[in-house]
Amino acid sequence: MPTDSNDTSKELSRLLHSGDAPRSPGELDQRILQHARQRAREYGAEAGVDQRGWLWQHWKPAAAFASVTVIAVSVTLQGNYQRGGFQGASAPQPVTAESSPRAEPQAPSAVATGQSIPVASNESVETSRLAEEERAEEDLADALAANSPLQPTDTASRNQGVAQTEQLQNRADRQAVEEPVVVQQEARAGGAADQQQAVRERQVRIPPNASATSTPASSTALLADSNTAQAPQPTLADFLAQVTRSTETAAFSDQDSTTGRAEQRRQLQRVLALVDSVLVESEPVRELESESSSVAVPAYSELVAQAENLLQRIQPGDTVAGGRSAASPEAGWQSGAADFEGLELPASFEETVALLQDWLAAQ
Amino acid sequence: MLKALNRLASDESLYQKFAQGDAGAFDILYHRNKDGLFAYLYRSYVDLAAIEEIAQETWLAVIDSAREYRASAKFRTYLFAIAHRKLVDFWRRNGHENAMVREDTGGHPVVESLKAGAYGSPSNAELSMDLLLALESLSREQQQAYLLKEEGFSRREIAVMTDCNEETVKSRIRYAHNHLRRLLEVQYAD
Repeated sequence: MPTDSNDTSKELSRLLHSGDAPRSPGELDQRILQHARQRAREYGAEAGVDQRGWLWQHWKPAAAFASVTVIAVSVTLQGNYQRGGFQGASAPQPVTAESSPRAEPQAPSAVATGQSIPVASNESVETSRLAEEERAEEDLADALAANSPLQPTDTASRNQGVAQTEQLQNRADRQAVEEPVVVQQEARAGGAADQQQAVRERQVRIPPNASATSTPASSTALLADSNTAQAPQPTLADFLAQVTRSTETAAFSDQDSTTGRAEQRRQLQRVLALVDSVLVESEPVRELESESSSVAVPAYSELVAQAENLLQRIQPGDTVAGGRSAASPEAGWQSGAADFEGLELPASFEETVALLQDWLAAQ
Repeated sequence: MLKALNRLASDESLYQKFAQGDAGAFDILYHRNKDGLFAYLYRSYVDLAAIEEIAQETWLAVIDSAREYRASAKFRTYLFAIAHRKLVDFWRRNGHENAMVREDTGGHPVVESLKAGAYGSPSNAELSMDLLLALESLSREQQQAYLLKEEGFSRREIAVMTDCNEETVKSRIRYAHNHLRRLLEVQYAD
């Protein structure tokens, strides 16, 4: 027997485990395992009952929690979309004239003449939006010019029509008519507000000595953009003649139709507006209540107001200013076709004014 | 497949699966521990009929209390603690609360025969049996402390299973060791 205590302990352990210990008898194993299987089935059944019981008892809180979770996720995702959170983590890049297709020059005259409006390199998206709005205005002006009987035959004529439309639309911004007729176009380089202001500052200034007897040549600049000054400019008389012919054409094509009368009225209003732009000093503006009119006419212009009144009363076959229907060739009157004889318009600016003055005197 | 996975699982995991209704998990758990438990019971009380009864009671108790099991203790500790209580209950029921003194045909205690070297040069099997007889001559507390230590449990685990403190367990183990050494010293003297 080892004398050392540790050796003795190990030897005792070896002796204890060296003997053939009896094994659990198979009969006992069968009994125990049979009982275990039976209990296992019971445990399984109880576990299933417990799971169904939990769902049955807690379905309301579970449903409420699921609903709140879905709503929270939806709100979060919606917020991210609105903030552009799913468009990447990079900061929005500044819009540049080279990279942004929306930052193109917008001024109609500038587009027509190839003159570009400087765009700041750090122009923002807001600038692009404003520019797009102005481009839409440009398109509208183009559409108006396209619908006009004054169909341009070349680029200069087209620019002229666009300039006329814009000039009419910007009449409300006109404040003073004290300087010679100039067309200002300032395309400022800094910011969208400046661009927009530059477009709106394109205004027509009329000389103070302008009167009813102003020559058509003095109004040439009224119709032309400064960038198109080199193109041959039609006179006001030419324009009025075009208007007259267009009116007759439109009216004759369908004299009894509403469309024809609307077109006639619109063209006459354009004439009146042009007349008014020359005759009238800066005064408040009112909108004529016409079904197809968007032309601003100064309220003080009694002459124009009366003319408008006349316009409202014109019917096919009527004669302007009563006894002046006998349009003599020397007076330069242009008579309508046989089926629209009542409507006669002067072929020149002076004749228009004279017609209106006579009509007022007759009233 | 499931059976193969269960063979890799721990005793605690298998026992919890059985509590959820997996009979196969208990089958593996039982075959993994049944012989060790049976040997422990046999060394504690050398009576096969008695230890079969104790083993059956132990395992049935383990099966019926599966839903109350918490994995805070090892399954083997849990199993042997139940077996120890069943053993103590058996001893109490049968009046064997004190140390058992087996006698030979002449009415002499077998343990005394071991001291006298009556068996001559013993084989290992004979020494093992002598050791078991020597264990029976120990008090129940000393015997259980020593046997549980030989099963690999720590003093703290033995203290929990036998409901005493660690110092008491240490003392019981030391006393049992010295007693066995003294009884078997004669066999090694030859």
